[in-house]
Amino acid sequence: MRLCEMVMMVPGFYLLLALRAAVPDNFNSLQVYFAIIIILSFIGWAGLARIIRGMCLSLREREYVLAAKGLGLSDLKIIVRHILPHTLSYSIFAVMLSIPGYILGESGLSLIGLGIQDPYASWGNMLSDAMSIVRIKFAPWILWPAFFIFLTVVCFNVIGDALRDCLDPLLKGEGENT
Amino acid sequence: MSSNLLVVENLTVAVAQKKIVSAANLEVPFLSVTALVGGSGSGKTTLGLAILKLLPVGLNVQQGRIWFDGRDISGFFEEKMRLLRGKEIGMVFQEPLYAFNPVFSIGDQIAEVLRVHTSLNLRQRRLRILELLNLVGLPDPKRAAANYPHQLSGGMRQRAMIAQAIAAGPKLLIADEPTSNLDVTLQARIMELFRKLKDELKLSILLITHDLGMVSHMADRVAVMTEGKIVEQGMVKDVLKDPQHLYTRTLMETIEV
Repeated sequence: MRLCEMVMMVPGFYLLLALRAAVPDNFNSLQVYFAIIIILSFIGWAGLARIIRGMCLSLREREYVLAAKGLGLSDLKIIVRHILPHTLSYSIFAVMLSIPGYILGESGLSLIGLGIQDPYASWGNMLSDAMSIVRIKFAPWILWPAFFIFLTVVCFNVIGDALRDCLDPLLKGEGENT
Repeated sequence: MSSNLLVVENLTVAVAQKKIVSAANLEVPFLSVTALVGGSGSGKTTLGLAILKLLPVGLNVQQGRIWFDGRDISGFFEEKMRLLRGKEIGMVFQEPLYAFNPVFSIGDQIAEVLRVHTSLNLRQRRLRILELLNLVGLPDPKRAAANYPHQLSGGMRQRAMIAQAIAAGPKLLIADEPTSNLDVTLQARIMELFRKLKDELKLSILLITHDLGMVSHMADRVAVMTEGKIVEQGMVKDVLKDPQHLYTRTLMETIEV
């Protein structure tokens, strides 16, 4: 867990830049794309891991875990059947909410020319054309990618929220009982 | 020794230096209902958990032996204990709502026990679950099996919990205050159920409770516990007729027996 904290401590975008610099120049866009994904996941896992760990620490004190132990289930079975399912709704929610973050990260890299290069399209590198005010003045439609990035990010947030509402067993249970 | 299913000898459980259970001796004869009576915090639950080696982190068994069915289980490691739990010693917990996982149906959770401890296939397991739920007196076993814990009433949950505890056919049932969250009529019915199961399934029961009234109706033997010590032990009628220890007398004064 200390390792997680160390990974979290490093400012994400700069590490991204540094790691991106380590990727050879002669990669084509597809390879660069996968390299970006790997780099993004390399800095992205720590936060979720820490929260899941915390949830597990609290879940294992639940009485049904003790009961499951009392019924002779092995530790692995208890983890898989009784602990992980309870972290699932949060995981799905967190994944949903982090997708926009990665989209933004990729766009950011492409925008400054480190991500996907020209023959391939990405909202980021399309937007990099709109970096000068003169161009926007004569061709305002090149700002459209920004609008789509915005829309996608908002959509994922809304979906993530809705998913959590319908997946969370505790919220559901409270409505029907007591 | 031979007439006892469970013998606890000189068992001491402590957290750091503070003794929660000190030098407890307890016997549960075959096919008997033995009650362990004591006030809150007297260590009776801890003793029950210690038998199954389910003590929370920080609590340690300092000394003592536990004999179950002629075997000394005090030296058993996790793996061997796992075969014992559920299969030979069933446990009924105080609050069945928390003892069930809220995201699985009752049937699923009973099936889990059967899967671990028996070699029944899927269909046989299903039949067995319905059989068990019927045995514990749930009116509509099929529906109960499909229900989630929060959909059942308190009494039904407790019955489902008992069904789960006896699923793998244990010889000993440890019931930790099985009725303290139920109203009086339900308590009586659950107790009736325990009696019935005891006769039908040849169970021995260790009943952990604070209710002497229930003990006098239910139990054959009683052990009285206070401040971690078992102060008096014997047949129910002897103990209740002529209590030797001051604490037993105090307990008896608080209720009409």
